[in-house]
Amino acid sequence: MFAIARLTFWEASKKRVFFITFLLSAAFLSLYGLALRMLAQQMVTIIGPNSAQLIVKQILGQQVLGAGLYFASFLLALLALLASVGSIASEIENGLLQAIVSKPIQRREIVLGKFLGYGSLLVAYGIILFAGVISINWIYNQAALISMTPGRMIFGTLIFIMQPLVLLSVAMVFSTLVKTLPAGIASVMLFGLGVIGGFLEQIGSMVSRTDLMNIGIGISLIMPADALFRKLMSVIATTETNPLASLAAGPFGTAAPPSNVMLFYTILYILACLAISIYHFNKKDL
Amino acid sequence: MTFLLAIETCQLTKTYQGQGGCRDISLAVPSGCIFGLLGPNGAGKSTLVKMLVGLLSPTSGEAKLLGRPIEDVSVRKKVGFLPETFRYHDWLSGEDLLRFHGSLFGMSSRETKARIPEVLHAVGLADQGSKRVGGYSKGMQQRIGLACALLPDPDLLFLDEPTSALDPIGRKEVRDLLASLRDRGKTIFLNSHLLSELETVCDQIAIIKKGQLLFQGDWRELAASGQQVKVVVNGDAPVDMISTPSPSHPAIRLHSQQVLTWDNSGYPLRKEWILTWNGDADVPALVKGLVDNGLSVYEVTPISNSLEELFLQYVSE
Repeated sequence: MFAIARLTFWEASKKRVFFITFLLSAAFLSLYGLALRMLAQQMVTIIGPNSAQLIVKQILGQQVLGAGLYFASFLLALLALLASVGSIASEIENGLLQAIVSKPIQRREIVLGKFLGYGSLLVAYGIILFAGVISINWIYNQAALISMTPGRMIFGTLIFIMQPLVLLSVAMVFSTLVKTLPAGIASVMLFGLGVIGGFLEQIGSMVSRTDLMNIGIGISLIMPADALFRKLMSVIATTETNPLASLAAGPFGTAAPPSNVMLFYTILYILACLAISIYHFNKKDL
Repeated sequence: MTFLLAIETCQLTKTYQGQGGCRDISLAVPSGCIFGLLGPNGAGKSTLVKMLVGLLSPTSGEAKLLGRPIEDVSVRKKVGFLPETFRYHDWLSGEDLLRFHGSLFGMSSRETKARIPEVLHAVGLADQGSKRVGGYSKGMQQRIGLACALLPDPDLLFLDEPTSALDPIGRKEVRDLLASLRDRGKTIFLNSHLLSELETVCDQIAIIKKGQLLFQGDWRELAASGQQVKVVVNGDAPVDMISTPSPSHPAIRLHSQQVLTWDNSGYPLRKEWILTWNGDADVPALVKGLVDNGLSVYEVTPISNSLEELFLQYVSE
């Protein structure tokens, strides 16, 4: 398993998609840092009572922090899906797996090794990206991080890196079920569905429509990536859970943050996806 | 541990939605031989090989490799496999690829380090190990695939079209390599379309057609069992002597005859007979019988069936 994991990590880091995502991330962090610097300079010029200045700073700060983390999550999601969706399907198609499956290893070791390889790369990359966004906000946008503690920082990092792991596990399922292209389409659509579900839940919470919220929660159970982002925002950005606070945070805010049960559900979700992938791969004729 | 049979299958069957694949294959491959698997396209050869190396799950039946069931993956520590579609991680160097395959075989890094130069030398890539596999020619990629299969010094080697990308010199080298492995007691299961190649190296063969096993065993015995002899004689031929089995010539039949030369009056002089034996051909006794009957014998040539003829005979039935 570790031989497969090592090779997968090595191979993934050499892929063009990783290089492109790395460049995009560097460009994103640079532009994001520049925007926050300009915003911080603009904030100083706001005239008014101190309390009003603070509220404006907090509202804008929350929105900018939310936007930064959202786009960082999006980049990570793209990397998770594009790099891993063909991990098994494409290697079945081009015959690469024939020389591997015929070795004295269990098929589950191949699935777990690939998950471990891609997962470690995504986790390492996620930590760097998360640290980048938080550092930039720490320098230029401290008002948005007033409730930040070391514990919250670690908790937030864990939630942030769970997002690509969820997508990776889903991509692995599709990769063992269908060919590369359908697997890619299905995984991206499921990711998109999760985003829509997250928005529906937030909107439902803001306008107090339980049915809308339930639809959103239902979708989050099918694809919990967006729910994780909402949970992350509630941990990092604010302790407020009222609709006004979430309105202040804009589209990236959290009107109804998912509970910790959602985190346990996500862990079970990942494990279930891995179990399904192993089951299908064990049955697969190569 | 030495096994009498390196491969043993019992009614091994693989079908796809009840069709295709191969059915009821009961095969016994002795240890220490080169065994060739023959069959026309779509006969089920690759299906059989893939089942044996764990790429396909059998629909029914059983199989053992080196005395252990194929479901026991640990047996593959001593089984090498070169797939027909020899695709490998082309961004790795030849040595890195072998290191990776060594770890998959469960070899220690020390064992792998010691084996890499040996297998690279054996497949003729001794000075190419540090180059990227992606930069290799097709033939070199097939050679590095063979090196991967040879890495654990396997007792049983499955080779699916092992010389398809090699030039004649490369094919000769692989044939020599296979012969040397057999001499060391290794069993080689060869799947190839190149009958002339199988004829040169294989001790035993199996022929399958439409998923059914038609023959297995020593092909040379099979070729000899219906041996023919071409005889060119001059004189009045007592054809009845040989065309009808008799107590003196119980196993000989006249297969065909033709006149080669005539005299001026159109009388046949020299004739060619093709005689067929049911058992081993007793050529000296035949010659003596012909001479005793007053015939001048100009030529006696035993004709053995080639593997290709046997194969065509089986698959066209």
